[in-house]
Amino acid sequence: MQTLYIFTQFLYRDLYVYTRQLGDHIINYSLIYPLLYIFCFAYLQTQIYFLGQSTVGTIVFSGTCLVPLMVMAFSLTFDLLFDLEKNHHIDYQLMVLKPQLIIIEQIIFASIFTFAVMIPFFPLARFFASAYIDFSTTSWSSLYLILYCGSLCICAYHKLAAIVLTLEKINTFWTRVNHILLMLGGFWIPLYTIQAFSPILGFLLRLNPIMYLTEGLRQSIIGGKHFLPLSHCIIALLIFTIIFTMLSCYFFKRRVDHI
Amino acid sequence: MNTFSRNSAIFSTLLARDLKILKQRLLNLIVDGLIVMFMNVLVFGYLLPLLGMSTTLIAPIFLGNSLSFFIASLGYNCAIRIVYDLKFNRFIDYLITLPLPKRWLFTYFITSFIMESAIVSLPLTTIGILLLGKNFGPINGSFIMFLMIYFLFLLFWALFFLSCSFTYNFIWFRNNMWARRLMPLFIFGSAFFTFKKVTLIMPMLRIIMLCNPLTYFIEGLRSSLLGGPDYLPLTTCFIGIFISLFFMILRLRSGISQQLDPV
Repeated sequence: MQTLYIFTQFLYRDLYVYTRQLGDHIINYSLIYPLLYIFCFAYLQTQIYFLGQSTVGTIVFSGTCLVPLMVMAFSLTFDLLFDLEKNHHIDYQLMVLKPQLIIIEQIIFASIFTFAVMIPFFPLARFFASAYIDFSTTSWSSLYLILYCGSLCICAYHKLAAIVLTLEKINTFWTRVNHILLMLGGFWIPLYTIQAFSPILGFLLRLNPIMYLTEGLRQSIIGGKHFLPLSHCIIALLIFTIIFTMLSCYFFKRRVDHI
Repeated sequence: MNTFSRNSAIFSTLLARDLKILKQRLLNLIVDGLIVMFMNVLVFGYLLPLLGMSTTLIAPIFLGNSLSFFIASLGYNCAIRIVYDLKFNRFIDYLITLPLPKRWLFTYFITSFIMESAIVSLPLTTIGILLLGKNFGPINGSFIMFLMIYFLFLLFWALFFLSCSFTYNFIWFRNNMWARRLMPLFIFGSAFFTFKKVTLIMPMLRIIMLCNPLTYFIEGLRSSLLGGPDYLPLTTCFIGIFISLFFMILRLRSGISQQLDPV
């Protein structure tokens, strides 16, 4: 009971701390990024690259929410790395709660916050670009379910990275890991196109957790046999989340345990 | 020793120091660059055409988007080091106390960035074009003109990032730079699409794009290397480029006095 109380107090603390930055995050990730992406990738790209074919435009646009989502998850989860390298406020938390629970609390908080900031992305697209992005077959409940599972998985993954990496490796991490995961994770190109290009690459990309998020988004927005089934995507994302969380707990304990 | 030769000696020592550091980081930078270039070649050169994108767009998008984003990310990394230094380490205080006029000092910052970016990005761009092969299409322009605009482009990014790092504080820079400065610059700067194609679809965007300095640099790169009537004429690009550089210098001057002038 005491543990649960402290756990919720930490959640409340995180909420208090990050609510102060909420205005900036909402402006950047709920307004600027969605509006720029809608204009660029829904409106212009559909007409210039794909000659107005709204089906292709929808397929390509559906994955573009990945960038704001990943940047948001990164900025929330990597505060732990800055703390581990400098201030060590985490030492106080470790005195009152188990390390595993601290990590789980931070992942849950980051995922809820990221999800909340990402909520307006697709409704804004529907409002401003319904002529270029086809939302007529969209299942909104599935869309938000997969968006939350994706936020959870990406936050768990970034938390693991924040624990394993050092400050000097952040830029390299974005270029060598996140950039590849993003570009080959369905940011623009769906899995079936990559499979048509190279079946081996298509097979290997099933190990990319981000692919399940974008495939799930496309399945919820467009539907059909081209994309992976929603249930597969949700199960895969949850399995990846569990793996990343377990690894985070293991490495976190190793990093803060001085003995 | 007269003043000019003394300043030159300090200037070249600082550059030599940067080159020494760059030598240690070069392999990492090249590996990072190769990854980005390879991904862009794969996505723009091979995968997007499978979704129906015309192959005639590959070369202009590669020059406008991939190359510009790569240089911008190098500039961003460089700028974040300066912003971090201004907030925490204050190595700048040592540089300011050197017997070197401020103009020389900031020219050193700019030259250092241009050198680093050119050493990393020029070979990678060439590799990217070679990897794209036939998909890149014919090169009807002039390499010398391309190189000229390319170095002016590096100068622009150096001035832009240096002025931003002296204008904004660390937290603002880290949280908002991409969302509020770089993304609008790219999206309204013909990075993803050519100027003429965008204005054909949305004529009123013409004014916004012409007010964006990136339009002139990116269209200039396309026009100089690829040639043909699909891009802004080179003379227009050069006028836009020099006006943009002039404004960037003014912005940098005001940023420096705001950040470093204690009075």
